[in-house]
Amino acid sequence: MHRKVAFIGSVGSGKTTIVENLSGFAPINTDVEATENIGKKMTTVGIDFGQIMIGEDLSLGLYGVPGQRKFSMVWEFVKTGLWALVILVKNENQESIEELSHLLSFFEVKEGMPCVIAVTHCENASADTTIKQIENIIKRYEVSLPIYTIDPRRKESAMLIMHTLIAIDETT
Amino acid sequence: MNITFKHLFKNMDSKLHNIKALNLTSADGFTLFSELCNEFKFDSNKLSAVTSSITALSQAAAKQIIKSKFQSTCIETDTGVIYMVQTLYQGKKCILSLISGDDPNLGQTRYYLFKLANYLETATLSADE
Repeated sequence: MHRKVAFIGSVGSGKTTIVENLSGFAPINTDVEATENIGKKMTTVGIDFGQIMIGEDLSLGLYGVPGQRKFSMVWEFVKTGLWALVILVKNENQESIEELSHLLSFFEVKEGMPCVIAVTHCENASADTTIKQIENIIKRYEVSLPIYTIDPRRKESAMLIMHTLIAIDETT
Repeated sequence: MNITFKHLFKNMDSKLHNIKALNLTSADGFTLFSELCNEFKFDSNKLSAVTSSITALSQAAAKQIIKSKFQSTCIETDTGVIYMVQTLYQGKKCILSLISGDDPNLGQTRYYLFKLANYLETATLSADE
């Protein structure tokens, strides 16, 4: 069985890294050089595509999509047939936190849909305030979503998300 | 002679007839130059974002599936085409795209767009009047 998981979140939240970390093969990468200062050299403009096998039967297609709203055409493409969504939020980054509302609406996240919110960049600061703000936002959408603090560079972090998505799917 | 992007649009229009838009964007989707015909109204920043995404995906497909270097992407519709080619402008990777008029000649569109892409690699355009 093949299922489609999308990774979305603001620029620099770790989408490309998490797909690279999880994929069983070198992911298809569509990063290009950033012409504006976005805090990093490269940025995704298409899709980062990877794949991971969970057991013998389940293959998860991993789709990392650009964070900037102007690339919402790519979001539309990934949304079709989507099984699960991972929203990455940068710790203590107001823009990234506020973008969450837009993403929940765009991807029509409803109770029972496998969806996880992952807070990144927590290495040097507590994520307590960010998590509280996220909880307030998701309350408005009447959904209860797991919120994790993760390091996208660590495979255990990334796998925790995958197993949570599967658990949500199995219990609904 | 100072060449502007508007000149390039007019020149292209004289060869291909009734083109709707000519657009040059950075690889990460920021509009550098954009010209539209009077009757065609749309957000050129949207075209820039779309062409940068599609070109990046086309490049990935060319590399991963055919193991060849990407050249161009063409979207055909029932009224015309959007043609995208990669180029350089001022040493930076860019995408040149053209939206044709009705019933385009694909071969000519491709030929003139590649020729313009080639020209842009060494050109310095003046600001539009």
